[in-house]
Amino acid sequence: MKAAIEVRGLGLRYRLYPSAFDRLKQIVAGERKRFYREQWALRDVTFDVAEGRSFGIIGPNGSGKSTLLKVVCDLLAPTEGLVRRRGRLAALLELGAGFNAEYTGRENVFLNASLLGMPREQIERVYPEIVAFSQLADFMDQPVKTYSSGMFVRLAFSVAAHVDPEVLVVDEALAVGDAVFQHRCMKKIADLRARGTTILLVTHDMNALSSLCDEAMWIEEGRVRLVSSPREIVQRYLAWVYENRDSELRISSEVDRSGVLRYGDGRARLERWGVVDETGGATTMLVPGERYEVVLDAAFHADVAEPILGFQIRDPFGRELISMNTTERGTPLPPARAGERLTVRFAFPWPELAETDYSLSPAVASGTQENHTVLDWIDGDVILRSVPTSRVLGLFRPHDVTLAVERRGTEVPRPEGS
Amino acid sequence: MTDVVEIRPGRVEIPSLRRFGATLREHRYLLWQLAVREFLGPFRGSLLGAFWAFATPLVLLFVYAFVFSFVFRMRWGGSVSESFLSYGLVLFASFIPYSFLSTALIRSSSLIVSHGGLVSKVVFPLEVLPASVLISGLLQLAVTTSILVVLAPVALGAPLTGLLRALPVLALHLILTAGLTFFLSSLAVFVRDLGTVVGIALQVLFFLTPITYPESAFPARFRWVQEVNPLAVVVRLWREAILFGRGPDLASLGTLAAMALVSFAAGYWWFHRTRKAFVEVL
Repeated sequence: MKAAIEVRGLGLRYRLYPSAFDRLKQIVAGERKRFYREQWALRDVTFDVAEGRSFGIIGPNGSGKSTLLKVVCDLLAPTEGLVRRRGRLAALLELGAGFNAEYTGRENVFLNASLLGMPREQIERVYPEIVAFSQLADFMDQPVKTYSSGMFVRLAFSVAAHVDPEVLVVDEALAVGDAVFQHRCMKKIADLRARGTTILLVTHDMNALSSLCDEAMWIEEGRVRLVSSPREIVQRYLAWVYENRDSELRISSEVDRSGVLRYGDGRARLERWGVVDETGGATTMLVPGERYEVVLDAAFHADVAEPILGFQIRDPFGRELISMNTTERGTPLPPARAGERLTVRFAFPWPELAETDYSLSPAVASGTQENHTVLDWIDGDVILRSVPTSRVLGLFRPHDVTLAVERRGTEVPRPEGS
Repeated sequence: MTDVVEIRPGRVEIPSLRRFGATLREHRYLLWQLAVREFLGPFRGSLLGAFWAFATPLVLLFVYAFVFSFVFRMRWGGSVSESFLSYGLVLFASFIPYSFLSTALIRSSSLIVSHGGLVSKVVFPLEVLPASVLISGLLQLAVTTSILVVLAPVALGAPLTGLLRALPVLALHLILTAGLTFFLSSLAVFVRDLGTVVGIALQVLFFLTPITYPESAFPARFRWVQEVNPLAVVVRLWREAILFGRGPDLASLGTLAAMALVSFAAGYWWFHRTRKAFVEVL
């Protein structure tokens, strides 16, 4: 099969200039004098994406993922190596880049779609689909500045998803919007993939990586660590993330090191999170059947009308196994005031999950289940290990399992309790 | 289009003019939308909207005509009658090429930076941005010229063929301005105080160009300034053609063409030479 994207020995060296004017001096002076410091953002990157395949890239913050996409899109010039690309490309490096708040939804759709390379007739043809997908039919003639951030993102994604390119490049664009819309985005990308679109995807989301990609690459400090199946990449990457941190209940807000994705608008911050056992001590080894509490402690830096605290527990493939929050549990929180702190404890018996590592992602948000803004989200920060007393095959074992055995031919009494 | 794109280090390729043309054609709808935004953007949300595109130049014309004909008591001489309206129209005509140039250059000095989000996050041909500024300028020029074409035959007895004679001058002026637009829009990314410099330079240019006065009023020993100032050549040829149906003489047209081509070649080359650095700076 032909490669839609070939990357060979790609390297990009940033020249760090003290000022933009020094950069100009450099262009004029040629190679006679140096006005910069050098730093390699990418080095010796080689991979192929075959036509119609979908390729995921994962790596800690600052590892060069986004830079790599920009080089592939021809936005940044490489220092060495080569990128060869076939087919019409659409890039989603940032949702809604190029939207103008003063203009209406409709005007923005038309301009954005033409920026992404669609001719007029095609835009007019798919416009109804774009509007339908975004579910914003009643708002199309209003300026985008009247939209909520969720609506804005929905519209931006809808445009991008209808460009129908041969090669789609996506940078983290999925990590936005509410859960329902995120799901629809994933589905849309899966559809594009099914139609034979080649996809190059940068993500922090293990779920997206394992469900959307045929192949994956892990990069670190600008170099390729591993190219393999998404399954292996996710496993090895999570193992590495696990090794590189301590998994104690953390009393700190300094977690932005070694690959933890933390985002939110900062109106509230998680100060303390983790799991405690019945004695009240922090733990990461969880025995099925024992009761534990997931403790979340958030400090509010602004008034928040509808705070939600919650968490997700995901398996090594990034699949969400357990997800709870105060609203969904029927305990909506009262409005929080700036300066206030809230602690929520979710107590439950640990299910019979297979013996492996699980990641805990605590979050504080504002709004409703369907439509909320993330105030602080820490992705997969605490690694928990399930330690069942007997080996669990599969993902998990329901509790209270009983068996009935029936033997034909001879009369045998049934076992008790069937 | 399934052609192969190869991205390699080294010098940036300067696209041929044919490629440039093809790019603009392919993205004509984008170009048009951006140009309309440039043109009508400032009036957006205002009560009278596009009416201001007509009203603003008319008000300016009136004020200039009043000050120069009543306060400074300037006269054009020659065949132009001494009425207030005639003076105003000559001034108005002279103002059109200047205003095209100055609007484009002022806009250039913030163009790439103000579209920073687009330039660094969206894959599209960057030359569309300066091109949209020029098209927006042409729209404004069409508005003002249409006022002129209606009023001039009445007030000055200007021949209707004047517009045809003015077209080659306009084409060269467009090429001249395009070169400067390309050059400045790129330079402004690296030199943020370019806007101020451009503002001052345009003021100087305004008074060194026979816009508010006839060429004959310019002292003879500084006449060379008019010769090397391409805008002076444009204004002279344009005014002669559109108001009096004269010219353009081939010698002046040739000089102008040479200046326009140098400007375009240099500006176009510079823009493409530097465009790869835009994303890094932004």
